[in-house]
Amino acid sequence: MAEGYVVVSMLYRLSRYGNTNTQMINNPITIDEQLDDIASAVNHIKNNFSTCLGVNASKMQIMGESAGAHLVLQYAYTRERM
Amino acid sequence: MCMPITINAQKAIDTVALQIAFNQWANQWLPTADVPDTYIPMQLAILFDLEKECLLTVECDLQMKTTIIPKGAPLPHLAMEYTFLMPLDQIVYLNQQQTGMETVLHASGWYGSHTRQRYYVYYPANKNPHSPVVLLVHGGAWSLGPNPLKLEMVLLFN
Repeated sequence: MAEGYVVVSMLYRLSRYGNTNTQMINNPITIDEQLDDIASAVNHIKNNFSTCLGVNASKMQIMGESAGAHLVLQYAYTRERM
Repeated sequence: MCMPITINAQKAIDTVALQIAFNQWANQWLPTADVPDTYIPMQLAILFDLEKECLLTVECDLQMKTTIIPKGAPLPHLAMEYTFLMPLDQIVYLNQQQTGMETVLHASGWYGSHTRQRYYVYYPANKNPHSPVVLLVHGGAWSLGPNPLKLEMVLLFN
């Protein structure tokens, strides 16, 4: 970050998560929706960060950890690039 | 999913009533069961002017956006209309404690309308138009969310 990198930490909709079993069963979110969220975030960054934040939003790396790593890989291999 | 409500400005006699109506609408964006207790609501500065219809102003240090809402019209979908970055002072304070780096600035924003469709931005004071962006996606078995204030992954970049 000292070298000028801008770090964005995104949240995404969680799958089968809730405080009660009923919420877990009724939660309709799947990995597809989570990939949609990553795509939405990428589009949002590309559309807004150049003007709102003054950074080079066309140069972007996406990293993930654990389930996030899987989501990023699946996004990179299956979703059409902007 | 949060739905916009309709505020009838003619029925709202004073700005207090209008403010209350807006707060009821804005409370839909506040923490719910699926976000941690430490979730910090967005900071808004809202002005209402009945003579000029409803005037909704959202201010932050990066951008100010003003929308004039006709009387009786539904308020705009906040997360979609105001997707610019919103500063969160509490996060700045927490991160300064954790890293001792006062140069790292923070902001938060929404890329969608769900309470989880949110992001946090961390950038140094020397950012410039050539600064690249790193997008972090947290883990947690697809079903667990980290406390966004813990920021372990972000700290890797310090």
